[in-house]
Amino acid sequence: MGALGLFSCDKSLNNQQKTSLDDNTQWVSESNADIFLNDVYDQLPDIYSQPENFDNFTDDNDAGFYYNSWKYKDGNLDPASNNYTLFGGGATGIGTISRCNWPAIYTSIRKCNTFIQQATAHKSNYSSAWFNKRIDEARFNRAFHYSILFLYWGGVPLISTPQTRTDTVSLFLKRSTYAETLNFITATLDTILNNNYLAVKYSKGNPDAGRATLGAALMLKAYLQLVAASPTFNSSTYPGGPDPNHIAGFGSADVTRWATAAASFKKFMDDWGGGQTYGLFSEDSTFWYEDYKYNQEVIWDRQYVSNVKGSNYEQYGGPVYVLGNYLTWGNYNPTQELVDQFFMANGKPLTDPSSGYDPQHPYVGRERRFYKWIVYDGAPYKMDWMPAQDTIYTRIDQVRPSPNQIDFASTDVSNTAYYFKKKLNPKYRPATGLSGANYVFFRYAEVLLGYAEAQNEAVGPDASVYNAINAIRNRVSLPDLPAGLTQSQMRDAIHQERRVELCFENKRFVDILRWKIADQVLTVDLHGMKIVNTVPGDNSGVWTYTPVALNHPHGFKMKQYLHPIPQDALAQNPKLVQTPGY
Amino acid sequence: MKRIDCHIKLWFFLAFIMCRITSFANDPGDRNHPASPLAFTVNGRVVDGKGNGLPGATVMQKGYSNATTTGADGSFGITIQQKSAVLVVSYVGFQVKEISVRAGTPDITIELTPGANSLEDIIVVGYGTQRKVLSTAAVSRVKGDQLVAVPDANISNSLAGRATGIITRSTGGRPGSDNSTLYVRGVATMGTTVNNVTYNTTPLIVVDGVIRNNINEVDPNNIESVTVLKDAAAVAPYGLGGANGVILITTKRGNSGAPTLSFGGYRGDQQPTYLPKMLSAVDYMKLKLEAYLTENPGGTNPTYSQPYIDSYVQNHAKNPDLYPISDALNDVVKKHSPIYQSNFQVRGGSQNVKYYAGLGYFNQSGMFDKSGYERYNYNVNMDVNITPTTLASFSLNGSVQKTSDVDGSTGQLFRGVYKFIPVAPLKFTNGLWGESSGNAPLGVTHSDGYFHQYTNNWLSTIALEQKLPFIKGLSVKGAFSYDPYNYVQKQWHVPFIYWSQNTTTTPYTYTPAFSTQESSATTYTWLNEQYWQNNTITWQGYINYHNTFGKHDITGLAVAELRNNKQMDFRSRVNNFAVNIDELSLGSSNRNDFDLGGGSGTGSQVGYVYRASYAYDKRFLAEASGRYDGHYYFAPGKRWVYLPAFSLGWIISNEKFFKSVNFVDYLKVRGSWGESGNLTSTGFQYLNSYPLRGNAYSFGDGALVQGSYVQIENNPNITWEISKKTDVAVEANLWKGLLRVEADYFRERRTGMLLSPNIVVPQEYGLQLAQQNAGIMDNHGIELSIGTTRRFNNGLQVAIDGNFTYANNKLIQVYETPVTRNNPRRSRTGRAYNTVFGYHALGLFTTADDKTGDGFITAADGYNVTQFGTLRPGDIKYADISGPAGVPDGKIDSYDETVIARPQIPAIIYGINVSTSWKGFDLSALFQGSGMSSFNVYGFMTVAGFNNNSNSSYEYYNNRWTPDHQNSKYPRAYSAPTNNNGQGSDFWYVSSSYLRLKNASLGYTIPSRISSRLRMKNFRLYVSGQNLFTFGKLKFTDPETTGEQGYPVQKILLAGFTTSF
Repeated sequence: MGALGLFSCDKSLNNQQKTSLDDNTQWVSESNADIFLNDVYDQLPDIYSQPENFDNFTDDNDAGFYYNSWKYKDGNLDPASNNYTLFGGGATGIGTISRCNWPAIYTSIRKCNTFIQQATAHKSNYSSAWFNKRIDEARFNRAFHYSILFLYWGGVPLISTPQTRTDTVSLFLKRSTYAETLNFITATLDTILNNNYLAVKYSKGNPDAGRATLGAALMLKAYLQLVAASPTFNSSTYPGGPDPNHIAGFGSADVTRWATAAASFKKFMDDWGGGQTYGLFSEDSTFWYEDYKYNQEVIWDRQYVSNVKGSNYEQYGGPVYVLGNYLTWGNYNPTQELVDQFFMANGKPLTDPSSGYDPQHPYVGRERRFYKWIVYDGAPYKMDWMPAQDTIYTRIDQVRPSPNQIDFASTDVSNTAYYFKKKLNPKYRPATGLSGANYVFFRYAEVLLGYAEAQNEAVGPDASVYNAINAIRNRVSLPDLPAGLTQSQMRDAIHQERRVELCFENKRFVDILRWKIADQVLTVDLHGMKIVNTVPGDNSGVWTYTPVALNHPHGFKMKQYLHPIPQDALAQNPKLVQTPGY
Repeated sequence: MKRIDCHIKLWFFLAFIMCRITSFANDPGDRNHPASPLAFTVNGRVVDGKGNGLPGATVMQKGYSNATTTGADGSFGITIQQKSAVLVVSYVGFQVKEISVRAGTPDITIELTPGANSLEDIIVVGYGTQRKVLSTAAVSRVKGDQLVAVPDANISNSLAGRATGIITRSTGGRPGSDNSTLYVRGVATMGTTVNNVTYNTTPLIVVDGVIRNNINEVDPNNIESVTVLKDAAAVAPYGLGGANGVILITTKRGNSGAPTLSFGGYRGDQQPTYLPKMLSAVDYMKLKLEAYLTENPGGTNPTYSQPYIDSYVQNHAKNPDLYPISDALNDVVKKHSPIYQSNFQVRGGSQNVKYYAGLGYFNQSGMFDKSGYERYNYNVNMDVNITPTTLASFSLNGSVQKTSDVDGSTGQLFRGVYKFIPVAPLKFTNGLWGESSGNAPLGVTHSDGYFHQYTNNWLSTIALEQKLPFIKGLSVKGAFSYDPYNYVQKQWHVPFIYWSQNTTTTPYTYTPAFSTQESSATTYTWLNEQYWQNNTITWQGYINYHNTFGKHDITGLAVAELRNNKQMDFRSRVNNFAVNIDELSLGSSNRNDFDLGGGSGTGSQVGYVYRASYAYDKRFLAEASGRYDGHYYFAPGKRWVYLPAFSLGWIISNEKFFKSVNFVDYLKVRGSWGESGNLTSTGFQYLNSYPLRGNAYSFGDGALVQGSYVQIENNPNITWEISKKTDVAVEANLWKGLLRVEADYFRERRTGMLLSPNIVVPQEYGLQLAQQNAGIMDNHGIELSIGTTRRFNNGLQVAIDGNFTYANNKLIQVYETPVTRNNPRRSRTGRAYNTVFGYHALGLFTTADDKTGDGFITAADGYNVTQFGTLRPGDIKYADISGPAGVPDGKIDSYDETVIARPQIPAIIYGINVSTSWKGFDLSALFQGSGMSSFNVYGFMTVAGFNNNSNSSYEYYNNRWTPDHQNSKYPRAYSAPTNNNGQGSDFWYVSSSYLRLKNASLGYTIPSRISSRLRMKNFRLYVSGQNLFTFGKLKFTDPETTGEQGYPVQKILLAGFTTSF
């Protein structure tokens, strides 16, 4: 009797959990399994929705003291100081960038591995066409997350199936070498390329646009090979310190690594480039706009949808005050160093005595990209959402002070006298979650720039190098590079072209690391432009332009060529060795 | 204005009802007992058992304020205005006695029996009541009348310092959400943390015998008593809900006798206990210049140069719009805001029918026009003896609440106010308002947006109790409770506007601009509405038994309880209203502007409770209680737990050998041991699950798709937390009640705390591990309450009650890596939970430390420790305690971590309650304090330019480091916080111990001869104050505050009255 009573009571304790799928329902059909993979795609770094980004870590941008990049530039990158909650907090390098910290990347990787494992186990529930495509998509996503680890940490533990707690042998893995990690990623990408299940590219209107493609796979492979061939890692010694485990580079120098990278870029150009499937987009500033999503230059991007899953990017950059409105956080302050990289309209660098550059009229006669991408003193500023054009003044004007005036202080207003407008979505007033423009990880211009660089290093400035680099220049109406450049001169030209063309696309950080120049460019004062009138009382004099040192942190240390593994990750896995120098 | 109208209307309404009812109620009295002509006087004498007169005893007419005290020989005379009356005679150390008198009653001698009254009291315990004297459990109790005159919306803020064993942590002073977090005997568990919010650490709330977490909704005026159950013996009947203690709230019910109508109310003024003093425009600029010159010695580009600063005030006088001076804290925040309350009760009944009804209104305004809290309470209950052996009861406690707030959050608004640069335009001379770094506090307060929450709840119970005639002392009872609770939230955002000043035109022109308040606000309109409903049904079946056989006293109780809970919610949001009408259906028609959500769930719990008590000869006491409890959170087959408790007591003072000890009236020792449970986890963690989420990603056409993922591994064995509690105590009454002492020592071990064992796998594992019931925490402490009551011959009565609670916990087992576990300085194990770790600061670098004089502290100065970036004199110097090799390594990093502060929740709370009365006057004061807690002061008030060149306070300015003031409290001025000085260190932690006059009230009850002429039983006027004075180490902010962006704790002064008819 009593037992009966209890039994019925246990039944009355049955309640249903309704908000989740379970082991059975999750993998039962293609549409259910797709839901899991959708979340995998959402693990791509959400770089547009946060103020810190990779360019803050470079000499291109002077971001605020609020960010980890400020600490990084102060020589402050520490595996062990991320425990404390006050504002000073930890110095974790790129760790605060969306999903770019050690545990978050491995969480993303596990999701890819879980999908591959479970979809394979439930293969009979799906068509082979769906299965083949989706497995390769998951593989690509996994490779992409590993590429972040590879770029900033070098050799890392390689995990390709979801680990189980009971399997202690495969649970505690050591760091693979730099070469093994590269091979692991490129081998995965080769598998995808050889399988040939994925489309080369999805264009606008295709419902699968945004999914992984063969184009993205080959681009990622070539890019990683380019990085690996670069002086920091393609060397017998790693600049950050002794590297007996070869996790911070190959431990040897081999010029053929450049050739390997060049071959991958060339394959891309030959098979799909030059306007066949991929090519340069006709216009150099509208490329990023929402209306031109999936254009022929886009290779791999993160998806945003205006308003409902939009980004905050516009709110972080651009002029702080527009038409008197306090609009943005002003986090993208191009340095004088970057501004000086933009060519004159005649294609010559400012350093060329025949360029025609006048330091007292610095914004006259510059190339097209300068006017489209940089907001300078006196620049007209008009976005689609603005009812009228504004002119942005950053000069120190005592008669008619502008709210955007350079303030050399820690407010949002620029410290360099520059803002930028590259990639800003002109449709929306800067705000949270409004912009639907996609974040582009790779575009075809990088194939050309990467090829030019790798080929120049591998064999020298041959015609194919000229062709690649001139294609970039010609698009923005710059003339061809002069013939007869030496390999070294061509290298400088490519580096400068790359810095300008890819500015604010989060490429510079890896570039200064792999070119082994971070310890030069991040150990000197960066500059802003002070513009004052010789008769400040009534502006009757002339406006003078003086670059002013910002006196902001610039204490890069050699060990910072790679990131340290967080101290707690080391504590949890005794097999991990720390990155050299930490 | 609107609210005041409503308030006045309500008062009129209440006054109207009151008049109607009183005239009705008094009608029979008026007819039969016209007041004065019938007055008569009773004379008599109050004596003890030996016939000795008791001087200073109180003789009082029951239900009236009419009272007198006895003279030196115990004699008294009292005039009664009615035909008959009941006299209540009381004297310290003796039991209260009631005597009926009528006109013509001859002189009487009233003999009082010794004994402490409070011990004869019946106390409410789990699923029943007990005589305090026979109880073997640790319970503390606060009577309702102590909570009435206190201006708190609910009792969560009134218990600290009043009920022994209660430890509280304030959550700020925002109307409607100013409840304190309550802990019984401190923090004994880590609870469950989901999204940085911790659950399951606070006590269970039981209202009128039913588990109801509705502490917010119960009107203090309707509370008869609050009982806090603390030890295992007391909480065992609550099984899985008992481990964190239980708070039993009992509401008032009817009594037999003529109807008593009570009416009362107060009105008061609130002001923040502390507000910072922010820098003036000139001092702000001076600080900026100082920072600039420190960082750029000899620099020529300061934002504010010395000549500019010197001429600023003059320039401001000439052109205040180009050279603004503002004081946001004074101009945006209201320093005074009203609070008021009124209530009305009727109580009475006959032998067979007893009734009680109450109506209350509470209104608390906030520091912004839009913030406030309003509540209506309505209560009615009835007890009917259907037959001599059958009792039917019905009760309903209802409330209607409205919480209002500014659009956005008050925290963000305070932040905007503290940030506001005093040389930025808060208000232009034409009355329009401006901004500072995009923050426009006046834009927020002027916006039409708002946040409203309307909450409705009902606590209803129907019960039937039947005495079973065939066995003496046996009765059964069935009770059914239905508790619906719902709220609707409506948040209406209208973009915040400020005016942008164009100085290139003459006169200046102003155009409206949007403020996004640090991107916490959108530039478009939106309306969000959310509905949340939770219905709980509780069935209870009781069997009660009580009988005495000679010296044996036996009580038994068995209860079966089933609780079912159903919850559902939905929310909808529409963006971009073309017309600013705050209704969902009037917003945009674009589907991209819509957002919907909602869900539902059910839960259930079944419990079987028992309690058996045995008392022999009022000397030896024994009790066993427990619960067999089942809960849906866990896997089938793992849902049931049995949690027993046992307790013993010995009333030594009833022993023959003790009779000779004259000064001890009562002495009891008691002890208890038992188990209780705590439900951690969030339910269904035993299942492998893939939570679904919307808006996960999109492909191609921009259509959003769902996503799912494994959030955490499942644990099929997941279960509850177990607490083993031990308690030993002494209770004593000495010198005829002159001193009452109760002292407890308690110890508890909590096992099975849910912890994630994440650190046992590499971080590369990539998935949160299932939580395990692995954590162990110890908690122990003492409680002490001491009281005395003294009545003097002149009628002065003084009562002093003090209580003290100390509870200190210690982590015994948590997951920790060997790196910290094996380091005695860093180990979490063995330390109090939430102990603060960080660096040890050695003070500030001085100019003498900069030996090279280059403005930096570097190796060249002989300082070879790497801290955080560049260092200057006036920056914090940290102790290089250790390194990877176990010795100082010239680098400050986590190897230098050490304990730097105590947890935020105090380990000590104490209160001293003093109440005195003399003639018609009464005065009471509650001093309340806490100790062993710490507070992090790092923020706007203690740093220069904390955020975006923000303003700072004089607390910082007057105590900052300068070359002339090297031994200072705060670091040097800087333009932006430095990484070095912002590290978590003991530099920023201060003790938040305090002692404050929490509450004081002074009342006057008008003499009976006057009040009776007004046909009142009594009439009392009072003034009362809350948080009047505070003493503590923390001088610039409230020690109970939640942080500088928290809503300030309020000081309240009020005046009110109570009357009954």
